[in-house]
Amino acid sequence: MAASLTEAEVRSARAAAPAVLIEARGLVKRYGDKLAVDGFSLQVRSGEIVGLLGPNGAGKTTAVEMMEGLRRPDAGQSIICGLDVHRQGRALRPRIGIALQAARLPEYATVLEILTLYASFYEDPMPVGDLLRQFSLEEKARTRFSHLSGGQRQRLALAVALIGRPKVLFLDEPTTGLDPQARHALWDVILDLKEEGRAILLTTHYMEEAERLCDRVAVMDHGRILAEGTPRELTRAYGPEAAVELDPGGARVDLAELARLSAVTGVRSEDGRVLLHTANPPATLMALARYAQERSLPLSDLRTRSATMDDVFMALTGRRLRD
Amino acid sequence: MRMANQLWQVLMLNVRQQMRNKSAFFFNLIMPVLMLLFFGATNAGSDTVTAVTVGLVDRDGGPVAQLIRTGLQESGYFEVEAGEEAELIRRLDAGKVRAVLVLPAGLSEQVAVGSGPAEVIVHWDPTSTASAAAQGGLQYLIQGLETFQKEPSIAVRDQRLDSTEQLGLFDFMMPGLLVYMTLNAGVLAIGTAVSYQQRAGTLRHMFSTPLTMGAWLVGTVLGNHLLAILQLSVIWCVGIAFFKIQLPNNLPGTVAILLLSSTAGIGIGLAIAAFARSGETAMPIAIIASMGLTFLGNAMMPLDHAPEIVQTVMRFMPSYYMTHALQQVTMKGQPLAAVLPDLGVLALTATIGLGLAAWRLRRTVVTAA
Repeated sequence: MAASLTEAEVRSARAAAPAVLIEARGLVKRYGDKLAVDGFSLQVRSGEIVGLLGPNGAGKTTAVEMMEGLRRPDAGQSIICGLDVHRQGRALRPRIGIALQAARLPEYATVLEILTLYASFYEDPMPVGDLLRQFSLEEKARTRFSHLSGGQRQRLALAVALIGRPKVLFLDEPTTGLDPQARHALWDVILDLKEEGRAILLTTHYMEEAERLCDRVAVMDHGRILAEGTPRELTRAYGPEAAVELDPGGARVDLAELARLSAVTGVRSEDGRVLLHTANPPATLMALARYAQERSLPLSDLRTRSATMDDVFMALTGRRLRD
Repeated sequence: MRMANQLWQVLMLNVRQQMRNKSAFFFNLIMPVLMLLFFGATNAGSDTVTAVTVGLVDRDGGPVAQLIRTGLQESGYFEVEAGEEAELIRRLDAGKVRAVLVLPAGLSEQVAVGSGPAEVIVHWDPTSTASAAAQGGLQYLIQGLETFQKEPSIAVRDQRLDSTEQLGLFDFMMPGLLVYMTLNAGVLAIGTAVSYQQRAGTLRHMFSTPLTMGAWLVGTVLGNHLLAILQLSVIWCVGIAFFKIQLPNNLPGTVAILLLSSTAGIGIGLAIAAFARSGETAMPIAIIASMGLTFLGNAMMPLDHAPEIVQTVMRFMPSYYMTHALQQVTMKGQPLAAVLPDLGVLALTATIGLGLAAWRLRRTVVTAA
């Protein structure tokens, strides 16, 4: 899969390139009275995947576009591979690869024609045949973009992003709309790209994707980064120690009473289910069993689990990522 | 080498867009051919004049009546159908004859004696343009015969311009069709396609690579030039095959004007795409601009006798200068030097259109504010 850079090139890139390949410093963007991005700062190092999470309207797209050089900030600076994005854009563009959300490539062109077109933009592009093989698109080489499936389009978008052998990749929701099998296949590709020493900034709506792929995650809302760290650091800092999840089977439960159960640190009701955050799952389970027996509650579908990035996101923003 | 490859790829992207998009393909290549065939069918597919049938009621029977009958028959413009006045008027009403000429009894005698103006009657149908034309023709012919038995003071002889000697009706349609095709491909097809690419993010994605605005513009213009040459070839081949159209009198000059016209058309189309809020907005604007330019450019219908305001507006249309340049160079074989003012207007239109489009796209697509 890692056919795009030779091992020597990877070693050389690691040795020569600065450790921090993507750096945003205090980016600010206003649209009239609305502050869309408010002092956004972030770093991504070589061989690292950083996930940017936030609900719709959080300012993710604007922040990423300012980092890519596609949008001019009102204040702040974006540095990629040591180059100022807005002052040295021409020198920078061969070094970055961008896969836009729901990639819209020229719809009347075939896969082969699109790759050949984009290859012509670069000084030393990857061979088109290698990309077709790497992304399993050989059989679709003569198929028009408009006739490709969602997964094939995303793979092509990633191939296009890689064609100039970039050191830095911006992936905007690369697996949105894909079935689980296609999503997992694309995750493997992205992890390979990371192993080659590229710096990857990923925006996603999928918590599982963030946990699986990202070395670090930044949670963003209202134009600001609310928290940043590895998924483990964030769940430790912002998520409950563990959670007990139950389905009361339609019976009315008093959340205040549940909050007083042994070791419970928080209670939440969502979609008919109840989530108890707990510092001691066995103690909470025992207390919950007694509580249910006294009130003849049918406790169906009872489970315990560790805290997830979803819990972190909820704790930080008060919303689910899909809200 | 890399730049040439880049231009070629962008050029081919545009050609594919135009050729594979069924709607663009139809309006760029099929529609003009259909228009040529339609005009051909309605004009009997030849450039010869069709004779008009007129009724003749001869109550005189003298030498003047004989002279008029012979004059009508030999003119080549009329076929004479003799009969009774009531029956011929009924046939006029039914559209079987276009006018009825009544020569009264004693006409020859009255003319010979010279006792006051001799009167003949022409019945015609004002609801029919053909009848109006026949009435005008009859009047012209009769007045020409007023000098019966006298030497005419002035002899009128039709003489076409030498440079148009070999040209037929369809040759005169070609500049108009070429202007229509050029504007359709540049303003409508490119304008709409680029607007959709812009809103869909396709252009934004392309400009996130090392592709420059200059290379993209040149590739896009060259792609449309290739299409313009294809259009020229197709329309001329169909014209030659079906209607015996002559090859352009100045072929290199025609191609040069066509390419400059194509560039001006793309400039207008790209400016519309760059400033329109969406593809849905760009399409009606492009349609109105393309139609307005075609019809007010003296291309599809002659506007020489249009109201003054229309003629004033016409002179602000770049398409007027496209049509004029093509008429002079393609039809009459004039050198390009003879149409320098027209070429100047087209070059200015192209420069302003492409400049505005590049300025706007840099601010909205390459790096948004």
